[in-house]
Amino acid sequence: MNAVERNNVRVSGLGTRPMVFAHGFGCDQNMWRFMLPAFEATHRVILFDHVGAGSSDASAYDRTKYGTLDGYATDVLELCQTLNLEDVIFVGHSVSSMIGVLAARREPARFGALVLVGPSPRYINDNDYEGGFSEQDVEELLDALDSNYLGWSSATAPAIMGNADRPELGSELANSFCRMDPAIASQFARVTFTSDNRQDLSGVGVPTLILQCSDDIIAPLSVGDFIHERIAGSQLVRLNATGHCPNLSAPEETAEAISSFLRRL
Amino acid sequence: MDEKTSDPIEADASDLYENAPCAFLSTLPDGTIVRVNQTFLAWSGRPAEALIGRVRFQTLLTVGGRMYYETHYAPLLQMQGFVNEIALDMRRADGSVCPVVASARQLRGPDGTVTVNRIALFDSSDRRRYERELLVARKRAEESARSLAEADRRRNEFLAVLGHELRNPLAPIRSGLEILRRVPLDERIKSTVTGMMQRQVAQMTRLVEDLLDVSRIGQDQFALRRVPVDLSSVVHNAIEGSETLLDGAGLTFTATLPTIPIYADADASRLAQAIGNILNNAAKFTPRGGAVALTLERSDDDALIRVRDSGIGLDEQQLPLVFELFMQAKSSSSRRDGLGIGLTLARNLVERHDGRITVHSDGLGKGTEFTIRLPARTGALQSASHAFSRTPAAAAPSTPRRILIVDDDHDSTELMRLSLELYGHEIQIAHDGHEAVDTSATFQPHLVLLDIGLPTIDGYEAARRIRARPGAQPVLVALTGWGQDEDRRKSAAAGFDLHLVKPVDHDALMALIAELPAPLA
Repeated sequence: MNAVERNNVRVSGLGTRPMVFAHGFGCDQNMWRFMLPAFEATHRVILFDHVGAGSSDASAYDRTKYGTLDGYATDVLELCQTLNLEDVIFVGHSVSSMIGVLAARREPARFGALVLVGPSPRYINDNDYEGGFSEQDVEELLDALDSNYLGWSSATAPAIMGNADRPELGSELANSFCRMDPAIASQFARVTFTSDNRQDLSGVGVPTLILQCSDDIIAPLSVGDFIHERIAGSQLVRLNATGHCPNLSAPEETAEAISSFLRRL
Repeated sequence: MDEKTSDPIEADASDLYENAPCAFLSTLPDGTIVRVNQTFLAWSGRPAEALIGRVRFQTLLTVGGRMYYETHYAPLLQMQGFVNEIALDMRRADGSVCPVVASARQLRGPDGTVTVNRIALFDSSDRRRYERELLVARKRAEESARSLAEADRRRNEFLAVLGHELRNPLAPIRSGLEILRRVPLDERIKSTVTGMMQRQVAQMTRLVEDLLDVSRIGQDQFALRRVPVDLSSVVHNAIEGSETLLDGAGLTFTATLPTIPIYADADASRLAQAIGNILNNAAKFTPRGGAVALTLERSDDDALIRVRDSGIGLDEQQLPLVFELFMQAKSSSSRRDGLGIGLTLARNLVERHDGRITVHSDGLGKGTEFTIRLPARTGALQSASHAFSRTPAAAAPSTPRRILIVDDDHDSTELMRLSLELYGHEIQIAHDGHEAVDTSATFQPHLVLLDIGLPTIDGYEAARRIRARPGAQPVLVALTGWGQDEDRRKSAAAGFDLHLVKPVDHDALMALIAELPAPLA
């Protein structure tokens, strides 16, 4: 199984310089759909699903490998190697921004630029560091996901009945995007929200753009400042968009911020 | 009458919106609330003024709910224009949580941009509760399936060991029979062979008795006859029963008993069985040349019986498992003969005496110590010795008796006739219930050994009819394969004096005959 099939890689665009878009926890590559028109004319656009999300090959899911964000970074690098991508512009949303940071640290030569959309190197508060969440908040979320108190209400059916015999119950029927096996989703959430990548930031030697929304509960403003301080030469842009997904709620503003950053490289 | 209420359909629609059985709200694309119905206000516990234009819907959710909103609900709504049935937790003004299921639709203006999101919330408190119950039920079902599978696996292992253990004595018994059949009778050979066969049969009998005990415990059909007993005597009996094994294992055995008797309310034979099992275990797991020491002492209100050996010891993983049924069968490294039920029985017997049994070991190779702690009786007691009197090991030649043997198995009756005639008793035989009653009337036996499962009328009925006749009454002994308490009650009710479980110990039977009341004439 190569990385292209495993990660359901989709390539489009008329340009040559590769832009790899990586979705965050809770979604799949569809979350980039409103942004693509801005880049497909000028770039080679590469979309993919993390293993366990979207139409990736869930059978490739390995609890040990994906027990840390490093496992996901390995997939990104494999995908770049398989497609022979050079001078990559990596656009990562949410947790995928840290996956991009890890990948760029491991193979700096592969990357030309990093765009971090709504990044956070650590979600849980730690002494003076304000991640936005208490440990209890995160536990509440993880427990709720584990027990299906939150989320697709249909996900309760396979949790109660087991989905070995009736796999159709495990797939979300009405909500056609953001499909994820509940067990994988729950581990991905744990890995995401308990991660701590603060030490990894200083090793990033690639031109980096940090995009932050106003009023984003997932990544408060202070987190943007923290990253900006740690990644040398990085640029921090605050968007007017609110919430955690500016690529969906304000695609034009987001695309324009990225384009103007790329123009100045 | 104003215009609003003049149209009943419009009035009804408005009322339906406001007081619908679900909560409605409309928000701007960023979540800012622009309109809500009365139901929503009631659920959220806030007035409209506090919400409209001021609050974003997602900020009314719990932290976990809001994280889910930002990572799933909002992106999905933006991507596909709707979301269906997403479970969220909303926080009421008083801080309590209201579980809801949310469905939402995006509304677009003429230019295609999203103008408003319409959201319907359904109260899912009950649903959440039963879903939770179902999840718990599933977890429980999975656990019990696992433990059943484990029990099944253990039972299969046990059956394999059991088969092996029961077959072991059979081979020497079979060879012994061959020898007795072929070789001309030589007293020396005969006594060697029959001695060997006797030991093997005793071993099999012990196994089968242990098995029956375990099954009785499993079915909770296990009654103790507890009376005040001197624990030194109980310990003494236990040691006597384990002597052969301890000696055979080449071990030094010492027992330290108190000078002042310690009494406890106990079933002497059952407690001796428990102590005997601990001693047998020590004998099995202590290499030749080792030592086993037993002490009995008083500790405040308790009696302590300690059995310490210098044997192979136990590691930390094994310690908590030694009393588990069939554990022996599982560990291949230290396997010894036996079924692994002795310690389980011992624990159960001790606990039925309101006592506790514990095990300690300093580790592999460092020996093991078992401690039985029993509540002791305060104050000394006189003559309690009747409770543990044992039948003499060998019977003295006794007065010749008339004995009627009743069994439909001709081999059994013949064998028993042969062995009893050797002692000079007069024997008659019956093979069914009627014959037993008739022969009893004519033969006037001192003792009737009566099988229960008989043709024509069973042993119970035969006993009742024998008892119903006038004249001198024989001692009636039930001989049966069934030794449950219920069986004993039934035989006592039918008029039997004694209830013996097959196979009957030859010495015990001889002792019984020797102790029969003197013939009147």
